[in-house]
Amino acid sequence: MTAAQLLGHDLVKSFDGHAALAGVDLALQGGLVAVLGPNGAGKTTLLRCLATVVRPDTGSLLIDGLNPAHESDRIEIRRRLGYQPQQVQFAGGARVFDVLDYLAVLKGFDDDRRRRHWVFHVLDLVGLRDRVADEVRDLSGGMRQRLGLAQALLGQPSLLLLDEPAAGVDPDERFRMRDLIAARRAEATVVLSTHLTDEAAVCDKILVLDQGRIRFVGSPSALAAIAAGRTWVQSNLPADDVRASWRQADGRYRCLGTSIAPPTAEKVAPTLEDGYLTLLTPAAP
Amino acid sequence: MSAPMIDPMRLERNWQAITAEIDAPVPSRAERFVRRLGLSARVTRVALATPSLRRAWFVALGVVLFLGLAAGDTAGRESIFGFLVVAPLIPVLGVSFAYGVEADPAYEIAVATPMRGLRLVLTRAAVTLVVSALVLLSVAVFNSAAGLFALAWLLPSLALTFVTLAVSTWVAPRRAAALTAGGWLVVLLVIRASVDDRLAAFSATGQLVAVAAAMLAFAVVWHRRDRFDLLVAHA
Repeated sequence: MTAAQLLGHDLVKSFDGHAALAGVDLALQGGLVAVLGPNGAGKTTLLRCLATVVRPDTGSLLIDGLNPAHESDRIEIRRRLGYQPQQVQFAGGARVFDVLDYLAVLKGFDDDRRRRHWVFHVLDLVGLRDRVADEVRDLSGGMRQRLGLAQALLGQPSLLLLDEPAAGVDPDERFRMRDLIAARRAEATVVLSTHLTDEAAVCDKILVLDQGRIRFVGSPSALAAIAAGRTWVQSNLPADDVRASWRQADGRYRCLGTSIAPPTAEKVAPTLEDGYLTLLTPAAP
Repeated sequence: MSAPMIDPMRLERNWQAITAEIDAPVPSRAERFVRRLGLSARVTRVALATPSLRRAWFVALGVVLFLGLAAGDTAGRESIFGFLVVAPLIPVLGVSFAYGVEADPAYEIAVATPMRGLRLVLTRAAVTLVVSALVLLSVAVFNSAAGLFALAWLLPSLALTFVTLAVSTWVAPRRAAALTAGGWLVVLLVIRASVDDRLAAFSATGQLVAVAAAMLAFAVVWHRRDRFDLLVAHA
């Protein structure tokens, strides 16, 4: 199976006059891609456009050369798609098996045995097989997120779109989910939206979205490098002209400068978070 | 003599298939009942996927049974009129619970699947319509007083179902159902006020109008079917 190819050009989507996407270009194929950005940056809208459930107002989008604006192409794209929306919800009274079996029917698994096989396969992957007969309301938040991921994995999609898959999940669960998602990168294009830099750090490529526009595309190390030479720590309260600063656990202040660090400052290697903040935090006037 | 070789992959696949059959929970009572009527596991699963869909289906069935029995209880045209007014709205109720966030919390996931939205909605509406029709027809068979009028709700029902679907391409499904039901009652009141015969709306002419309305509404639904495939604000 080949990982899906995504080509977007000048994608624009507005809601009530507000531009959620204001001209997005992208070209992706294969690997694990993080869409990183603050709340309201347009991450969910972008993923919904890629999932073909929202149609861009203008611009062009091709997935494996198929145009989601055309009905037959859209259906074909959806055959290759696994999608976990931001707010994964299932009917509380429905059983885990019924939820997945129902969604497997919608995904085109017409044969009862094959469908059952896939349901149990994805339940094994996310570690929920022993909860198969439980009602969704009896699952913890983390388990529900895993159930959301399980349905996205049905049918081994070549395009996996995950909108904040680890939201509200405790660290243990997050690591498990991260491993599971990372394992798909070899066979699918995995796009996950997040506002957590530690999640983005394990991705092959990061796409930073802010106010509906792409501000950065590149590797995690390239994003961190934006803050190279501008990151330092100091003991005293920083002056107002730094871009951002915060107090660390050791009581010292980590500073992101608007230009290179002062000669007397103790320079440190920038992290992904430093690069991200340098990119998105406006310089002090 | 060496033991015959067994392909371990094949063995594993077989074992997985066996455990899947054993571990799969028994379907709900509603699903088992509908399957006994001859519908496939796949269609039944789509039609009765969530508790809210099952509740809507049970309510529809209960109302239909009540109306059918009430219509059979008296031979009066007033009683039959009441039955004919309400019975066509049962599938409308089915449609109102057929899709959207209120009916299915996993709606956004469902929209992103290859199953066409219109097909999904029509399947659910059709199951409600067919089961309701079967119950009512069986009542009608034993009800000589109501006669053919016991069947006169079928075409208006079809028309109202498609009108609801057409309206729901603009507004939320439950609002569409409420608007359609309101419109239906207004139409009946106007006809009743202007014609002496209380059952005029269900006469041969009325049935033809219902067919025309169903065709027109279906044309609108078909033309705007993309709306069922997209995540729209009102759904």
